[in-house]
Amino acid sequence: MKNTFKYYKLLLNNLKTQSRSVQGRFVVFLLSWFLVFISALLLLTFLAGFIRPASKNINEALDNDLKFLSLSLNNGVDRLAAQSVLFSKRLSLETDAFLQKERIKFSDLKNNPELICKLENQLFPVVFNNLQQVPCSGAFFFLNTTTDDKREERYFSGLQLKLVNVFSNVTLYNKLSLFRGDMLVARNHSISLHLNWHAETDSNLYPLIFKTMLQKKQIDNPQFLLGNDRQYPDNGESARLLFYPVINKNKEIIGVCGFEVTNLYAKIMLKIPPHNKYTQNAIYALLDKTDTGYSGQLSSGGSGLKTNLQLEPYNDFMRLTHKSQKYIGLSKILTTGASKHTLFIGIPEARYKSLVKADWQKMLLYLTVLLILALLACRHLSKRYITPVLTNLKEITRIAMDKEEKIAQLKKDSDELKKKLVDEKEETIKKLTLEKEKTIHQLTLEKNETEKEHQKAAEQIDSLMTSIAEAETRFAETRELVQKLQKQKSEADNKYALSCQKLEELDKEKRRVEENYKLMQTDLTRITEQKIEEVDAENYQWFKESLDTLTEREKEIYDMHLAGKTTKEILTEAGITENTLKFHNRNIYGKLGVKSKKELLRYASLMNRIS
Amino acid sequence: MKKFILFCISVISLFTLACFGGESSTSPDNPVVIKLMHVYGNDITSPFREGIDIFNQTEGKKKGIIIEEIGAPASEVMDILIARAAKKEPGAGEVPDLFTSYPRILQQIPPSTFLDWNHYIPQQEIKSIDPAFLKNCTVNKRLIRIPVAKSSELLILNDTAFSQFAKETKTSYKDLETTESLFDVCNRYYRWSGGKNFLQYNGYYNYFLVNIASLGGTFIKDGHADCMSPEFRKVYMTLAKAAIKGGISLGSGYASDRWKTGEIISGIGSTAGIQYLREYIVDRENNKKPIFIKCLPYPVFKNGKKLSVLRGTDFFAVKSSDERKNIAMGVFVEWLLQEKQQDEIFPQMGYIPVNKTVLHNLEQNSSSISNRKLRSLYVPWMVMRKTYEDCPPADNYNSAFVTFHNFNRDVRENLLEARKNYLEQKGSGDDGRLILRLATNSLQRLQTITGQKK
Repeated sequence: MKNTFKYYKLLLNNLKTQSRSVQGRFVVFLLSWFLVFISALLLLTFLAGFIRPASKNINEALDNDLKFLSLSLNNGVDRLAAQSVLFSKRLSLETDAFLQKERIKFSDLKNNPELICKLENQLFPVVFNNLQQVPCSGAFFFLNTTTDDKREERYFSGLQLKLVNVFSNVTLYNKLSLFRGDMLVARNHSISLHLNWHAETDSNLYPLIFKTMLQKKQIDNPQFLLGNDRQYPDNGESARLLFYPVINKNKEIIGVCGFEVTNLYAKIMLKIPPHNKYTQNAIYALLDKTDTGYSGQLSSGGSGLKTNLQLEPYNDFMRLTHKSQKYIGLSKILTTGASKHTLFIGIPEARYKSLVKADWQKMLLYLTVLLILALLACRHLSKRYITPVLTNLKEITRIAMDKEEKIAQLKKDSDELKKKLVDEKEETIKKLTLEKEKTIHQLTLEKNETEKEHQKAAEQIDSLMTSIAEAETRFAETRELVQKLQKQKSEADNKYALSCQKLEELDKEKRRVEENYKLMQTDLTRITEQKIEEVDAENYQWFKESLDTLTEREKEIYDMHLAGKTTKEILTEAGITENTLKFHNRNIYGKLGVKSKKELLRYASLMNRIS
Repeated sequence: MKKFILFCISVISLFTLACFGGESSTSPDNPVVIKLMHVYGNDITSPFREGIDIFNQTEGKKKGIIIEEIGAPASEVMDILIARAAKKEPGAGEVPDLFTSYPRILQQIPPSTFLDWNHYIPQQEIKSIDPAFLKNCTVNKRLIRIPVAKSSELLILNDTAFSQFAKETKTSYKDLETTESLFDVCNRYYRWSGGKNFLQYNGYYNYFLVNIASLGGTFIKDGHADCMSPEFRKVYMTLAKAAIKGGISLGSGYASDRWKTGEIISGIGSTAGIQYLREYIVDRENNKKPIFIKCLPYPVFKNGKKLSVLRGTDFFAVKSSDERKNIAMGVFVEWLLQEKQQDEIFPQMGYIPVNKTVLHNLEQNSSSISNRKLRSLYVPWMVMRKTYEDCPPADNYNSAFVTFHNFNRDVRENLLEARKNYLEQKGSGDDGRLILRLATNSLQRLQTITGQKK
C-alpha cells in the first residue's frame, strides 16, 4: 500500500514538472507551424501582388497618370498644332487677298496704321473662328510689320484675342476681349478691350516668336513650336504660345500665328484622372530647362510662372522642389514639334511619407492580427488537448492519496481535534460555572441588601404608622370627648335654666375639660412636632417644593416607591432596566434633596400626614 | 480567457482606428479642395488672388485646405453661370462649393441649399462685422450669406483730361455734383472734344434706384421696375436727353474699356472698378500717356436727398455631405474676416472692409493712404459715408434676378435706338425739340417693353 502511494506521488511529481514543458512545447510547436504558414501566405500574397509596398503602388499610380497626362498633352498640342497649320494657311490666303485688293505689297503696310487696321479687321473673323475650334485661352497672329518703325523698341502689328474670364473653362458664356490689336477692331466687332490691352506687341514679349518671324530664309518644311512659359508684364499672367509661321506664296515668313494657353486655362483643362488613393492631390508641372534649374507651370498654387525649380532623383522617384514645397513623383521628357519640355507628376512629400507610413502601419496591423489569432489558436488547442490529460492524471493521484495517507492523517487530525475540543469544552464549562457562581453570589448579596433596606424601610414606616395611628386614636378620643362635653354642655345649657347653681361647677368642669383638651391638643402638636423635628425642616420644605420638578416618568417611579413596590416590581411594571431605574432614582433623589429611598418615603409620608 | 480576447479585440480596434480612422476634420496629409468662384478681379495680380495663394501656403497648408479658383467673372456673368449650373444646363459646369454673389441669386437657388455660417464661423468673428452689412443676411434664422467686403458707387474722373477741358470751358468740379449739371458738362465736353463721350454708366439699375429714391419715389414696386412714376420719368428723361445728344457713352461693357483709350474720361460705377482703371491711356499708335485719377461723390439731383448705394457681393457656401468641406469653407471665410486680411486685401481693390475696427481705421486714415490712386478713391468715399444716407437696397424680391438683368439691357438698347434716330434726323440748327421728342418716345417705348403701357 505504501509502495503504491509512493508510486503515485512520484508520478504526480513527474507530471507536475513535465506538464508545463509539455504544454509549452505544444504551444511553441503549433505557433511555429502557424508562423511558417503565415510567412508562406505573406510570400504568396506578395508574389501574387496582393501585398505591395506603398512606394510601388505610388510609382505605378503616378506612372499611369503620367502616361495619361502626357497622352492628353500630346493630343492637345497635336490638335492645336494641326489647327495652327490651317490657321496659318487661312491667314496667308486672306492677307494675299487683302494685298491684291488694295494693290499693295506686304512691305507697304509698314507705318500705315489705317491699312494695318483694315487688314486686322479683315482677319478678325479668321482669328475668332480658329479660337472657337480648339481648346485654348486665346488665338493670335503677328505680322512682320508695324504702325511706327521709328520707335526705340520694336513692335509688331497683329491681333490677339483672349477669353474675358481667364479662369473659366465654360466658354459657352465666355466673351472675348482684344488683348493686342487696333482698338477700332474691338469697337467694330463689339468686343471689349482686355484689361492689359495694347495696340501692338512688344518684340521682347515673345522673343522666340519674333526670332522665328524675322528669319530671312525661305521655309520648305515649317514646324510648329510650343514656346516656353512666359509671364505677361502687366498682370503677372503666364502662358505658353503654340505657334506656326505664316508663309506667303513665295515661302517667306510674313508672320506667325497660333494659340495661347494660359497656365490657369491649362490647369482647368488638363486634369489628372480621377484620383485613386495614391495620387490624391497630385500635381503636375510642365517645365523648361534653364541655366539655374527649371522654370514653368505648376498645376497647384498660383498660376504665375514658376522659376528656380529643382528636379532631382529621390529613391525610385524624382523630387521637384519649389521654394519650401517638395513633391515626389515621376518625370518624362515631352517632345512637341521642335521643342522639348519636361513633364512631371507628383504628390506632396508629406503625403508621400504619410502613405508609406500608413502602409507600414497596415502591414504591422495584419501581422499583429495574425499573431494574435495564432496565439489564440495555440492557446485554444493546448487547452483542448493537453489540459484534460493533465487534469485526469491529477485526479488519479488525488484519489490514491485519499485512500492511504490522507485518511490516516485525517484520523489523527480528527483525534487531536476531538481532544482539543473536549479540553476546550471543560475549560469553558469551568469558566462559565465560576462566572455563574460569582454572578449568583453577587446577585444574592445585592438581593439581601435590598431586602434589608426594604425591611428597614418597612419597619420605619410601620413605626411611623403606629405613631400616627396612636395620635389618631387619641385625637378621636379627644374628639369624642369634646363631643361628649358639648353634649354635656348642651345638656348643661338645657339644665342651665333648670340649674343656674350648677353653672359655676359646670363652668369649672368645662374649663377643666377645656384644659384637658388643650393638654391633649398640646400633646398631639408635640407628637407631630416631635416627628417634624426628626426631619430637617429645610430639607422637607425643599422636598415639598421640588415635587413639581419631577418628570412624568420620574413621578411614575416616585408613585411606585410610595406605593411600596419593590425594585423588581417597579422594573417589571415600568418596563425598564435596573440601570435606568437607578438613573431615575438618582434624578428623583437629586431633585427632591434626599439621599435614600427611606428618606424619600419618610418625607412623603410626613407630607401626606401634614396635608 | 474572456479578458484576454477582449484585450486582443481592443488592441486591434485601437490600431485599426489609428491607421484607418474616419476623417471628420481637415488634415494636412489629406487636403480638401474647395472650388471657389468670386468677383474680386480676374487679373492674376489681384490682391485677393494673392491672398488665396497666401492662405493655401499658410493656414490652408497647416489645416489641409486648398482653395482652387474656378472663375472670377463679373457679378452679372457669375449670376448667369451659377443659375445655369444650378439648373444643370449642358456646358454650364458645376455650382462652385463657395462663391460670391448678390442676394438675387436666391431667386435661382433655394436658401436651404446653403450652409449656415453660424455653425462654421466663430461668433466672435461674426460679431466683428459692422451690423449694417449683416442686414437681411439671415433666412429662417440661418446666416446663409456673409459679407467680407463692401463697395459703393461714385464718379471716377480722368483728371488730366478733365483739367484741360475745364480750363478751356470754365468748368469746375462743382459742376459734377448734381446729375443735371453733370449731364450739362457731358454735353459741353461732347461739343468741345468734337464728338467724344464724357461719361459712361456701368449699369443703369442703380442709377434709377438711387435717384428715384433720392427724389422721394420708389423704383421697385410689386416686384417690378415701376417706369410710370413721375420720379422715373424725370430721372429717365434727364439721362435720355444727355445720351441722345452724345455726352454719355452707351457702349456695352464697363466704363473701364473706353477709359483705356481715352474715349471717355469719366465713369459712374462700383468703387471696386478702380482696380480696372489704368493710370495711363493708350492711343491707336500704341503711345502710352499717363493720367491722374480723381474720384468725386455720387452725383444726385439738385433737389434730391443725398443717397448712396451699398454694393458688394456676399459669400455663399453650398452645403456639402463631406463635413470636411463645410469646415474648410468656414476656415477660409473666417480667415478673410480676420483684421490682417481685412486690412491688407480689400482696401487694395476698392472695397471697404466689413470688420468694424479696420473700417474705423480706414475712415480715420484715408487721407494718409500712400497709393495715390487709392487715396483719391477713399477720401471722397469716406466723406460720402458721413454725408450721404444709405439707399434702401432692392436686390432680393421675387423677380429681382430677371428685372436686374433685363432692365439694364432694355434701357441701353432703348437709348441706343434714340441716339441712332437722332443722328439720322438731326439738322444743323437747334435740335432741342428733336431731342425732347426722341427722349419722350424712348420713354414710352421702354414703358411698353416693360409691359407697363399698352
